[in-house]
Order: sequence, then C-alpha cells, then structure tokens
Amino acid sequence: MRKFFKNIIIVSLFIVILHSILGAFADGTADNFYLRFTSPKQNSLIIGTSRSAQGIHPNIIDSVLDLEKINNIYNYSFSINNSSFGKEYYSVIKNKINESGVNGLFIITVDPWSISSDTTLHDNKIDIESVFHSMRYHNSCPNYEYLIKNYKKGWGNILLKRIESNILFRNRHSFDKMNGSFTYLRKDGLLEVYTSMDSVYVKKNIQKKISHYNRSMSRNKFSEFRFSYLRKTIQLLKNHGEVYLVRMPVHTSLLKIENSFDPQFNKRMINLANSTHVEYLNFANDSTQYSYTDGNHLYIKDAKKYSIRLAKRIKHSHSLANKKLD
Amino acid sequence: MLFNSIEFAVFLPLIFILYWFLTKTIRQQNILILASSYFFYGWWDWRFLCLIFFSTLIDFLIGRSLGNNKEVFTRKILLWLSILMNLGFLGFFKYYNFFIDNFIYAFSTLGIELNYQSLKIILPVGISFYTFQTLSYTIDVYKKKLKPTSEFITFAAFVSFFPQLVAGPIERASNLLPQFKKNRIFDYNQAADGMRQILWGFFKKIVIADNCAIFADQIFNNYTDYSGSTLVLGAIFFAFQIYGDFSGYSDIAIGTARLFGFNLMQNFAFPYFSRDIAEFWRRWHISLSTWFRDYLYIPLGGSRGANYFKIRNVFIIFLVSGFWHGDNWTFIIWGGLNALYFLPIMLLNKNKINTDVVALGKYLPSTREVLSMTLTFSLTTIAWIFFRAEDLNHAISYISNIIDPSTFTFPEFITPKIEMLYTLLCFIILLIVEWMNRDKEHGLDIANYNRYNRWVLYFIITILIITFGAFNHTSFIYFQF
Repeated sequence: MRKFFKNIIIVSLFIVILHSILGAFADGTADNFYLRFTSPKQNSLIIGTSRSAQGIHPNIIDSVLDLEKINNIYNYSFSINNSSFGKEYYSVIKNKINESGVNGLFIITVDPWSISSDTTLHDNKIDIESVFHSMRYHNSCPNYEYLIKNYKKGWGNILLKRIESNILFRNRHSFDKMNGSFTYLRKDGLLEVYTSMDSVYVKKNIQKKISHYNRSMSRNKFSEFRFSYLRKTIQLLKNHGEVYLVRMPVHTSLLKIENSFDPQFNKRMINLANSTHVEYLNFANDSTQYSYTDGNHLYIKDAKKYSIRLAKRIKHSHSLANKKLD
Repeated sequence: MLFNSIEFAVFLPLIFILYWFLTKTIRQQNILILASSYFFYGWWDWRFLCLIFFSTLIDFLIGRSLGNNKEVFTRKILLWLSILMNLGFLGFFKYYNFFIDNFIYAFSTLGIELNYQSLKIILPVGISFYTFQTLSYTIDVYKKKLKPTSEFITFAAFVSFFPQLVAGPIERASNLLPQFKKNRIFDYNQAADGMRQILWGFFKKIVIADNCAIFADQIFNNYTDYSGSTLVLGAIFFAFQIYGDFSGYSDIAIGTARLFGFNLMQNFAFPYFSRDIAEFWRRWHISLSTWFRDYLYIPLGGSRGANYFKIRNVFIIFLVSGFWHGDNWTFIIWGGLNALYFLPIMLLNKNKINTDVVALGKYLPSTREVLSMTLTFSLTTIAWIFFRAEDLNHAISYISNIIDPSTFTFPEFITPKIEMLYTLLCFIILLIVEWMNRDKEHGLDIANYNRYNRWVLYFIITILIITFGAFNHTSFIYFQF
C-alpha cells in the first residue's frame, strides 16, 4: 500500500506542479475571455457583447479623448451568450469597477439581442450557463479559478496555443488566402480576430449568421428582465463617471432582421437614455460604411475606423454638455 | 457523477481511503460500496435511487423465493414476474414514447388521427445496464447455475456497484456476486494495473472521443455543406469517438473496480483490429454481446437447426441489441445492418475462423490481414452512420451524399484545423499503443515492461491528456442507453 501511495503521490505532484506552471503561461492566446478575468479593477469600461469586444479599440478611444492613464478605458465585453444584460453580467461589472472612481467613461453597447432572452426560459434560469455564473475571482492574475472552471482544454494547450499564435501572428497578413481565423485577446480587452476577407468566404459567413439570427428570432423575445438590468447597469456606472449608450453598425441584412425582431428598439433606447440622463448614440444607419467578417462583427481595420468615429462623437457630445453647463 | 469530472477526482480517493483504512470486515466494505454507489448515482438525480432500490429489492426477494421453491410452475411464475417487472420499468422509461409515437403514426397513415401527446419522461441513467445485470441474477438462480444470496446488502452492492453502474460492463451475477462475498485484500499489482487502465481510459475518452466529437458533430450536423470525402472522414471520426468514449468508460470502470479488489469482465478487446464481423462482435461490448448470446440467442436455439432458424435467431439478436440502445429506428437499422453483415459468414460457417489475436507474435500484419481489417472497419463505420444520425432521413441523406464524385477528392479541413491535425496524430498514437498490446487485457497492460519504460509511458500519456485533452466534461455516449 505504501508503494502504491508513493507512486500516486509522485504522479499527482507532477500533475499539480505542471498545471501551476502551465496556468502561469496563460495569456491572450489562451481563449477569448481569460485576460479579462486577470486585469485589475478599472475606472472606465466598454460594456457589451462580441460586437464591441471586437469592434471598439480602447487605445483609440483613449488617444482621441485624451484620457488620463488612470482612466484608460478597458474593453469588458464578452459575447451574446455570456454578457447580455442580466444579473450575472451586472454583478461582474460591479466587481470590475473601481469603487472610488468617479471620473470614468463607460460605453455601453446595445442591440436587440442583448436585451432579449429565450422564450422558454424563466428569469431565474437566465445566464446560468454564463462564464460568470460560478466565478468568485474576477481580478486575479493568474486566475486559476477561471482556468479550472472555464478552460475547456487541457492546460498544456495553453502553451501550445502560445506557440501556434506566434506562428500565426507572424503570418497574419497572409490570412486572406486561407479560409479560417484566429483570435488574440489584447491586454486592454480588445479581441483581435484575424480572418480571411475573401469575398466568397465572407459571404458564406454572413449567410450563416443570417440563418443563425433568423433562428434566434423565433426562439427569443424582448426581455423585461434583461432590460431592467440594462437600466441598473447604467445607474451603477453613472455613479462612477460618464455613460454613453451606443448602438454599433452591423451588416444591412442583419440590421433588417434586428429591426423586424424588435421594431421598438430605438424608441426604447431613446426613452431609456432620457430617463437615465445619458446619451444614446445610434450608428446603425452607418452600416454600409464598414466591412464585416460575418455581418455581425466589424473587420479589424474597420473597427479602428469606427472607434475613431465613436470617440469623436463622444468628444463632441462631451464638449456640448460642457458648453451647456457653462 | 461523471468519471471525467472534478467531483469524481475527489470522490474516488476519498472512498478508496475509507475502504482500505476504515472498514474491517467484508460487510463493512459492502456497506461502504453500497452507500458510495448510491451517492454516486444520486449525484446525477437522487429521485431515481428509489427505482434502483425497488428493482434490487424485488430481484432479491424473487431470488430467495426461487431458492426456497422447488415447484416448477411457481418458479416459472417468479421468473416471469422478475422479467416483466424489470423489462416493464425499462419499457416505460425508455420505450413508452417510441411505441406511442409509432402507434399514432401508424394510425395517421390509415387516415385516423389520434390526439395524444408524448409524455416527458426522463430516462434514468444506466437503467438498461443494471436491469440486465439484475435479470442475469434471477435467470441464473432460476436455472440453478447460482445459489441465491441471503444478504441484502451484498446483493444491493452488487446491483449498484458504482464503477459499472451507469454504463457497464454488464456483469454476470455468477462472476461479480461471489467477489462481494470474498475477503478482499489490497493487492499492489492489481491496483497498479487498475491505475494504468484508468489512465488509458481517460486518454481514450478525453483525448480521442471528446476531440473526435467536435469534428463528428460539426460534419454530421452540417453534412449538406461538405464533400463526400469529408463525410467519410466524419463517419471515421464518429467510429473513433464511440470507441474512445465507450471503451474509455469501460477501462475507467474496470480499473476503478480493481482499486477496490474486484475483477470485472473485459468489455472491449481491440475491436477495430477485427478481421471479420463475427470477430468484431466478439470484441465489441463483450458484456452485452455475451448477455444476449447466453440469455436470448442460445435459448432461441442459437446456430442449431435449419438455416431458417439460424437466420431468424441472428436477426432477432441483432435487432434486439439495436433496440436496446434506444427508442429510435436508427438503432434498429444499425442492428439489422450488422445482422446482414454477419449472416453470410455464419451461413458459410466461417464465423469462427478468426478467434485468435491478429498477427500474434509479429510486429506488423500481413497484407491480407490489413485488407480484412480495413474491410471490417469500413462496414462497421457505415453502420455507425445510422447509429449517429438523428433519424433515418438524416442517415440516408448522409450516405447519399457520400455516393458522389466528391468522395474521391481530398477531404476539407474542419475548423479548428490545427486541432483536427492533433486529433489525427492522437489516432495514430492510440492505434500504435493498442496494436502493441492487442493480446493483453487493455491498451496499457504493460506490467511486463521495465520500470523505466513504464514510467516514461505514464508521463507521455499524462502530458498528451494535459495537452490535447478536451475538458468540457461531456457525458459518456452510453449514459443515454
């Protein structure tokens, strides 16, 4: 028995030590969320789903708005399945913001999907499968809790991904010739997606997205529950700085689906903005000015273009507001 | 509780320590096994514990009555009572909706619309496995092959033994029950081999099955988007997925049982190295195949008598075996297809020509052996398409799309491409390791290797699991059966 235990302990120690080391290697190549659970508390945040995760460059917002280093904005957007407005996302936002900060900037991106939910789901079942659901630590580095609960691969894959990403990153400019993509999560929370922009490939992806959202249309409906949490999120963030409600551009075919899914969406947002005294910036009509990887997400280069435009609009609104105050 | 979960990683060492250090007698060990098995099962859904308990109690009482009763008629009544009760539970939970839906469909084709909605029945995990295990006990007691047990705890521990409770191997009472009555002492070699088998089971489940599942699902769910060759690849991915999943589960179950001093029967004996379908069925899900052989095929007359009876018996056993897997016509067709494969070699009396291990004592198989193994694998893979498909239309369309000129093109890479290459690399490792040990009990039966080589292999496999494993805690396919 002693020999058996000795051998088991050797193997177990090997596994534990190896995992501790591998966990420390996790970075933006590990997955699309990990780094956001390792960053410290923030004064300024970009809130939303994958549209803003890929579509708003924090460094551009910082430079156009000339934000102080302490107030640099952090992209804390995840994905539609995880960060639609609700109890879970609200509580992690609460955990991420610096309690003492009052001069922050908060960009909350909205779309009809992030305030809708499955018609068959009761409110208390919403987001129970979200990445946030069982998480206790949101700001520790390395975040072993996240890796244990949410990393779906063996941790050796962390190292493998770093090597793969290094090779892919060096060849990112040749991605147009390949049908595929890879992602990299930057330290400021921006999710960089490198993908082929070959017109046939993009068309196929847009078609897939259209079918996906057409299916979603029949399964989902506007959710009072989610909407109330969007309001709560605005109210929470208003205590820590300036809040902007933003609707990002999407491909016209998807915009059409969104408009038929929730025709009242813009009106609802205008009313919400008025009642919470924040500004609603609607870019939905600029759809044709950008290119998209799949209709739903801005292409990385166009995301830069859009981020500049967004930052300028915020700057403009900010100066107008200041003038009014004067 | 899943074997590939953190809960099980805590549960197993805890029970192991309690079992070997805290229990002093066989009875205490059996009580601990019983309690931990109910806890293990209850972790999934405690409500169904009463079903196992009830099934155990009835078979225990019937077994005792059979032992005390010599009257043929009464004994027959008792046997049928057990069969009807066990199959009644199975029938209700597993097949009720199937029969109702087909009944309604049959009437609707005659123009009679019946207004009835299917019941929302949750299938208790492992019901098909423990039902067959308890049935084997009653039948063996009835046939006087086994003496009925008088200890309820022992019998209940036998029925619910957690390593094999939810997906087998389906143990015969004559093999497992006596082990619960014997004094069990810790045997290092047995436990070490158990650990090796667990390690290999995890490799097959986490690295092979769960990675293959990603690609098989993607291809099967979007089969209209892919070329014929990619669909062939999808079917091969599923063939490896189901093998890795189910034989991986069996390895973990058998290995776990060995840690507690039990020897369960071998459930898979490297079936993809089979040279014909008969050999495949002697090597695939052995505990179920032999169950059907002993309790259905032989009582029906087996391969004796006229060809008509032989054909009838083969079809019955394969169709029932298919139906055992679930309430879908795809499983029945899968069984029927295997019967069709089996018939010619049985009628030509060639079903027992490959009873040894392929290329025994050689490093590599002969060309003839390679060809026969490839043919057998191809036939089983075609049948797996029915097993995997959602319904018959899906299976037929999938196969129709394979019968296409695009089957002769290079298959498309499914994203994530690099992970597909890793999975293919792991296939090769699996095949090499299993080929090297094909005459052994399991793929990592390497007790005869020297210590250094053994430890190198342990670390390599551990690193492969850590690097290429998919830890999404997916359930085992056979849990649904």
